[in-house]
Amino acid sequence: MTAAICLSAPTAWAQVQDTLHVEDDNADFTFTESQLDEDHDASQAVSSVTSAKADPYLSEVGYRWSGMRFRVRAYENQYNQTYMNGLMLNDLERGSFSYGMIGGMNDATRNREGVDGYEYNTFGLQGVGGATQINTRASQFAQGSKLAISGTNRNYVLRGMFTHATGILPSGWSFAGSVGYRWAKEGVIEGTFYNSFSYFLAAEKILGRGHSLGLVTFGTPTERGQQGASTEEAYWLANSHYYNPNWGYQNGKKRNSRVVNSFEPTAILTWDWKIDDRQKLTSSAGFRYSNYSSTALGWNGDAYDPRPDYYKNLPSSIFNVYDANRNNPQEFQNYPFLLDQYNTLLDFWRASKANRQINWDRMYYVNRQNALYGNGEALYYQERRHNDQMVMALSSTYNFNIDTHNKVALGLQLNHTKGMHYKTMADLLGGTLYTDVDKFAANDYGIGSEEAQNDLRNPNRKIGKDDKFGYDYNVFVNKANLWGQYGYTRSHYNIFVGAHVEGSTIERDGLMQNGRAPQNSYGKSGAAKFLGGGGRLQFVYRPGGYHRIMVSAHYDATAPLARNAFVAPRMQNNFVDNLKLEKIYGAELAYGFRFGELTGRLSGYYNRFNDGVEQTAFYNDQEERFTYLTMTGVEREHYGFEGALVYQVNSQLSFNILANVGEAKYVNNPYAQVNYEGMNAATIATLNKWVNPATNKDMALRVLADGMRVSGTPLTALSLGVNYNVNGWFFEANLNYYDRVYLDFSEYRRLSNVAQNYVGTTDATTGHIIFEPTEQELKKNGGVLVAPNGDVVRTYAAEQEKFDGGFMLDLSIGRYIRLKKGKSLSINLSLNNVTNNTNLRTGGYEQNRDDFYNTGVARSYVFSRNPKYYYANAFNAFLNIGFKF
Amino acid sequence: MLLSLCGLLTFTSCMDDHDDPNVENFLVTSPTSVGEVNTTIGAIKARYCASSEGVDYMRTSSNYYTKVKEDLIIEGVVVANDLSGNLYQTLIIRQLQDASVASDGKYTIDEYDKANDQCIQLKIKNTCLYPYFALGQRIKINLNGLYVGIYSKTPSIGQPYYTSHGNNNLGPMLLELCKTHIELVGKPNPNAPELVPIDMTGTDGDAWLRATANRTYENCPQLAIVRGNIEEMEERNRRTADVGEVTGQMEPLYELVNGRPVKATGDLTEKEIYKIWAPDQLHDDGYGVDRTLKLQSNTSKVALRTSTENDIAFSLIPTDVRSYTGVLSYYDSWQIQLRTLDDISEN
Repeated sequence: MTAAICLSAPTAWAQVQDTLHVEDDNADFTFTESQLDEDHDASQAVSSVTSAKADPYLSEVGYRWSGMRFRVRAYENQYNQTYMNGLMLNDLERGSFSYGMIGGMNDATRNREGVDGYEYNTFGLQGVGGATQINTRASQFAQGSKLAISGTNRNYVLRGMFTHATGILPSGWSFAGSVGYRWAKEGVIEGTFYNSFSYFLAAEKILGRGHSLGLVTFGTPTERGQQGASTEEAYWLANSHYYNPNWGYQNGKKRNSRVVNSFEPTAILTWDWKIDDRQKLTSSAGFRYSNYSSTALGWNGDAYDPRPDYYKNLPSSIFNVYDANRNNPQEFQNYPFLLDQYNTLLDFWRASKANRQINWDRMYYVNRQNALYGNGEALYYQERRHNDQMVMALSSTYNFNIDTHNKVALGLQLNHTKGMHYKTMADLLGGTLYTDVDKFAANDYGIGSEEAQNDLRNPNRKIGKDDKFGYDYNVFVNKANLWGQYGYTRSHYNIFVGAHVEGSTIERDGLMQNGRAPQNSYGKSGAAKFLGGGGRLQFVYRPGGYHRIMVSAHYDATAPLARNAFVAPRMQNNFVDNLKLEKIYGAELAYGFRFGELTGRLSGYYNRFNDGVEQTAFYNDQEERFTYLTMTGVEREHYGFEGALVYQVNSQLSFNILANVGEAKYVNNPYAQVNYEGMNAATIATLNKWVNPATNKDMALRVLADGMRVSGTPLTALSLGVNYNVNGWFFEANLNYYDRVYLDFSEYRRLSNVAQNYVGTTDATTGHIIFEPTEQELKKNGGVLVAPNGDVVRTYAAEQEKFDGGFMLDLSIGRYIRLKKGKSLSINLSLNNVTNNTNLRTGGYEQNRDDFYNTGVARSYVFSRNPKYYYANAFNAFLNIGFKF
Repeated sequence: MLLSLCGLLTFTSCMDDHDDPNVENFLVTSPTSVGEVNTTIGAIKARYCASSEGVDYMRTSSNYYTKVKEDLIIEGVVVANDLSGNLYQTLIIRQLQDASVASDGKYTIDEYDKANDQCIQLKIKNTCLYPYFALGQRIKINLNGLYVGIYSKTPSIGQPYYTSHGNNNLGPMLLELCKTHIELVGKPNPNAPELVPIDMTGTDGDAWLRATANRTYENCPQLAIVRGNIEEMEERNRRTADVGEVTGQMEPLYELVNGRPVKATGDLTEKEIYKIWAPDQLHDDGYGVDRTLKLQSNTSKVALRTSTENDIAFSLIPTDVRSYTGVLSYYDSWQIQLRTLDDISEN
C-alpha cells in the first residue's frame, strides 16, 4: 500500500507504535466464554480483533467494542480469514479461526497485516469480512527479549510471557521463541478457572539467492471452566448478573461441570523465494492436530434434571407470574398454597449459595443408591465431547509487481481436514456401570429395541472412564482454491480485480451403526461436491490531497460449512436437503479523507446472503431429546454506515469518533429440517410435517424468520475517544454507547408447524378474509394466516427481544520509559466499564420450549418470557508491565 | 526444553481433579427429628379423606384437599416407589399397627383388617425418588403445612398445583420441603412385614374385589397381589390391535424372531402374536394404558394400569394366568399398578 492511502494513525501514535501496543497486549482476553451453542465457546466464534491498522475504523473497533462482543457488519467469524506466513488457518469444518490457538503469545503474533473485504492484498483472496496475515518468520523479530507480566480480573488473573529473538545471525539463521502462562484459580465469573500454557518457536535460515526456509511451531494447551447463561429470574434470585449455573460444591470445593480442554499444536514450514525485486514466491506447508473437548453433565431419562436453574426449580414455575389473573392478591387469598410454594422456592434459592448451584453430592449419592437398590446404572455422569481435527494444508502465493502501474498476485490453497467427533465418559460420578444405549430411544421404543442401540455392532457395551460411547464419526473436508488478483495504479486512481475458483468435498464416515438409522449411519456417506468461486472489483479514486473515494463490489459462491451439512451428524450420514452454494453479493461506497488535522473514513455497505445453511443443535426440553434444526435457503441482508473521524489537536492531543449504524436481518422464511436424536426416520418424518390447516395438504416446513435480526452484536455502536500523551505518559478515554443488540431467536418456536396457524373466514359482505387474532397479537406471538382456499396469506415471526442500550466508559493510562542500552519499560493500566454498568446484555437465546401443554392449556412457567442472557463484564482492569531488554 | 514442555503440558490438566465425596450421610430429608408420632395414617385418612364436607378446596367429588395446620406426625414404610418409572412422583406409605399379621411373609385377604393396615399416597416433586426412599424405608412425616385429601379418589399427601388441564389438583409436594417435613427412620429393611402384599389371588380375594362395599377410601391404596389373565391377550383378542382414543393410532403387534420381539407383519393368523403393556399409541390423558385383568373365580375385572415410556411399558404381556403385585386403588373400577417387572410371577 502506498503512503497516500495511509490516513489513519495520528502522528503521536507513530511514536508509540513499537512500544505500548495496548490493543495487542490485551487482545486475547477480551473474549468472554461459552456464549453460543453447546460445543463452542466465544473464542471460536467472535471476530472482533482486526488488524487493518491503516484503517481508522477497523483498527479501533475490534478492541474498543470487544466488551460487547461487537462483530464488524454483524458477520459471523467464518467470513473473514486469518493467515500465518501465507497459510490460511481457518477451520474448514466451522469456517472460523480459533483465536484460542494463539492465545498467550501476543508478542509473538504482533506482526500483522490486515485488509478489509475489498483491498488488494498479497496473501490471499479475502472473504467479505476481510483478512489478517500474521507474520511469524523468525527473521521478522527484532533481536532482543521481552518479559511481560500482567494482572487482571477477567477470565484469568495472572499472565506471564517471555519472548526472545536472536535476529538474523551472521550464519543466516534466526530464532525466536515465546512462552506464556495464563492462570486463574477462579476467574471473574464464579466457578470458572483458567490454566493455559502457550509456546511458540520459530527458526529460519536464509539460504542465499533470495531463498529462505522457516519453520514455526506453536500451541496453547488449555484447561478452563466455562460460564453459562441463565434467566433474569435466576440472576435476580442470585442477586447478580454474573451468576453461573455451571458449578457446584463437591467436598467443599468448587467444581465446574463444563470444562474445556484444548490443545492445537501447529507447525508451518515456509519457503520464501524473492525471485527478484519485483517477484516473490511464498509456499507454505502446514500441519495441525487439534484436540478440543468440553465436558457436560449427562443423565438418564428418569433422573431429575441436575441443572440448578432448571425451570421446575424456579419460583415462577408455580404459577404464571405474568398473568394478572393469577398474580393478584385476590388469587393468593383464594389459593394461598400457590404463593406458599413460590416463597418456598424463593427462600431456598436465597438461603445459601450451594442451593442455587449444581449439587454434586446428590448425583454421587443417587448413583450409589441406584447401585444398591436399582439397576446399577449410573443415572448421572459427566461426558466429554471431543471435536478433534487433523489438518494438512499447502499454499503457494506468487506476487509480481510488473511495473509501477501493474501488479498481480496468484495463489493456490489446498487443504485436507479430518474432523473426529466422539464422546467419552469423563466421570461416572460414583457409579460403576454404564451401558451404551440411548436413553431417550429406550423411552420411545423400549430398552431392548434396536433403536435404543448407539452401536448395533457392539450392542449394550459396558462403558468405563475414558471409553468412547454415544457417537463416533469423522468428517472429511477437502478444499482447493485457486485465486488471482490484479491491481492497476495510476496517479489518481487504482483498480483492483480479484477472482477465485474453489472446489470442496464434504463426507461423513460413521464409526458406529446407530440403531435409529441402521442403514445410513455406519461407513461413508458419499462425498458432497461443490464448485464455487467469485470475484471482486474495487475502484479507488484519488482526486488530490489526502482524499480517496472507493467503490467496490463483489460476488462469492461458497460451499456450505461441513458443520451444517448433515441433518444429525452424531447419528447418521444423511446430508441436509437443499444443500447448495451460499451466494454473497456485496457493494460498498467509502470515502477516506484528510482535512488539515481531521482525518477519517466514512463508508456505506450492503451485503446480501442467499441460500445460506444454518444449523442449531440443542437439548429440546419440549421433546426431551437432543435436536438438530437446520435451515436452508436462508436469505439475509446486512447494510449500514460506518465512520471514523480523528482530530489531531496537536502532537499530544487528539479526539476521535467511531460510529456504526447497521442492519443485519433475515429476509425470508427458510426451509427447515428437524431431526431428533432418539427417534427413527418414520417418527421424525411425522414431526417434519407441516399440514395446511385449510386443505390438509403437506407443505414444506419453514422457520418463520423473516424480519429477525442477527443476534449477539450491537447493530448500533458509537464511541467518543480522547488520547493524550506527555513526557512518556499516555492517557486514553473512550465513552461508548451500544444499542440494538438482539436476542438469538428460537428457530424451533418459529417452526411453521409449531407457530399458530389461523384459517380465515370470508366476510360475506366485503369478500375480505378475516382472521381472529389482531395485528398486534400476531406481531408479538407470531403465526401463519391461511386463506380458506389454503393459500398462505401472510406469516409473522414472533417478536424478537431487543436489549436496552447503554453506555460504557473505558480508560487507559500508560507509561513508557526508555532505559539504558536500548532497554525499555512499559506500564499500562486499562480500566474497562469504569462506571460498572452491570446491566448491558451482550447476548443470549430464547428457550426452545412451548408455553402450552399438548392439551392446549398454558403452562405456569412461561418459557417465551424467560430467555437466557449474558451480560458484559462489570468493572474490570488489566495491568500490563513489559520489560524489553 | 522438550521435557519442560511435557511437564507443563501435564501441569495444564490438573485443575479439574476432584476426589469422590463421602455421601454416606447425604439426605434430602430432615437430619433431625420432625417430631414424635402422634397419629396414624388411618386417622388422617378418616379426618381428611372420608368426605368432601368441610374441606378447604373441592374441585370435584374425586378431588378435594385440606391444609394441615397442626403438627400431625405419622409414620409408615415405603412399599412402592418409582423404581421402574411406572409410578410418577409417587410413594406409597404403609402402616401396620400389628405387623405380626405379615411377619411370616404371608398375608391373606381374610387376615386383612382396615383398622390395622392403612396406606396413603405421598407425592413428591421429583422424577427419581427411589434413591432417597427405597422400599422398606421407614419414614416419619410432619404434615403441618402440607395438604391431605383425595386425588382421583386416592388418599394422598402433597401440595396443590396447576395441572396440564388447568385445574388445581392435589399434586406433589416440593422436594425442598422434605428437609423440614420428612425424617428417615433407620435404614431400608427389605424384609419389612409392610412389604408383604395382601394376597387376593384366591376365590376370597376375587370375592372381596367384587364386593361394592369394599370400594372405600379406607381400602385405597393398598399393596396387594391379584391373579388372573389379561383379556387383551386371550386367543380371540390377541391379533386385534386396539386404537388409541387420544392418538387415533393403532397399537403395534409383535412376534418373536430368534427370541426377540419384533413388530409383526404379514398374515398374522398363524403367528404367535404379542402385545406390550403400554404402547404410546394407546395412552390416555394421563399417559397411561389400562389392560384388563380377568379374575379367575368370578367375572370381575381389574384394570392393570401402566405408564408409557418405562421398562414395564415395553414388556410383552403374558398370555397365561399370572399373579400381579402392585398398588391397588379404586377409580371407576379397581386398578393395580406394578412397581417393577419383578411384580409379575407365575405363582
